[in-house]
Amino acid sequence: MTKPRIYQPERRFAQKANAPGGITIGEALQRADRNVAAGRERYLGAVDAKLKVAVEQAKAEDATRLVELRSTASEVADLAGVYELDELCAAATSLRHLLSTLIAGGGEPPWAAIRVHMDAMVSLRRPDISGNSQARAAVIEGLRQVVMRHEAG
Amino acid sequence: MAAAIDPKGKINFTDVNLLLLEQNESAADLLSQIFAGFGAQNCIKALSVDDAVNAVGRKPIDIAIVEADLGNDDGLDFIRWLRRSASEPSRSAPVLVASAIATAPAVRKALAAGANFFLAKPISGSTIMNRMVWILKDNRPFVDCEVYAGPDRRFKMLGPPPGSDGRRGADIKTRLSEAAGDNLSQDDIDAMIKPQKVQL
Repeated sequence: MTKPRIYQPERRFAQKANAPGGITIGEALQRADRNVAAGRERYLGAVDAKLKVAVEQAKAEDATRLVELRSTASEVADLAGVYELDELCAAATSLRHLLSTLIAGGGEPPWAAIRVHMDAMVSLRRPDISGNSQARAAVIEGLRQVVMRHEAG
Repeated sequence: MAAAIDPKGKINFTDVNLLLLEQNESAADLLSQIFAGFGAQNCIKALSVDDAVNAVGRKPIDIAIVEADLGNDDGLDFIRWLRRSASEPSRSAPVLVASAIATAPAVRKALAAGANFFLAKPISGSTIMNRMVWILKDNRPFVDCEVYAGPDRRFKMLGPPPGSDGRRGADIKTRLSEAAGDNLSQDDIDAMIKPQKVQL
């Protein structure tokens, strides 16, 4: 067994980030928030486009597309999370977990459960539901019941 | 969030070479917008481990944000490659793992791969900034041995506070359950990473 080498690395990130100049952290956060807000329509538009494709993939019941579907669920969860669309993020996260378990463990894809997740996510993007907290909660509750039934076998 | 950051503190990301490894283009783009807000001008987006390895080959990086689950790829493979095979200074650049799966085993796996910190998704500008500030204060040495390469995971043992008889049993934090499948909160994750006083 060779002896571990322990050394102090050159801390380039710290050297650069602590260099004179720059901006205050408060200003950096404000700018970042502005950038995120400015991209809201664009990124959520991308979510809608991805969902459209994913819905068709789920309908086609193509098991070779499971990784792609999980990637879509992952992207939706990430973007919805940033824009504080909590229910959409929860639905996408639920689908991602379902698909991750399936991809890791194999087995017959539960297409009905996958389609329900897709429907839920599409619904949560509809203006009449996205603007109504009770409707959003109802969608999530329905999804929860489906997941419970699926997990119960 | 565990530690408040001073909004009057200054950062300079102008010359920082930042690598974002994220499988989803929109998510990578949004992340780069957050860093652009922080003043970063050299943000390299990679959508796969191969892309990231090639990017490091072209230009040294100062910091990397890595998505753990890349669909067909494993972001942790990139970290292992970086720690073992990349040239300095990229090899010892801080790496922050971002993942929606933030269970205790997932956090441990990321740290065992050589990550400096773990960030639970979804993320926001303030959570990223908080981690950046933490990384700036992190001066752990690097360890390179047969089974591990990365920042020292043996957190400094400071012993009991001066003048005290040591910590009581009740002061020791509850062990994290191996079996628990739920995601940890960011504070829980931080508690796994930050230096803590322990009874010697």
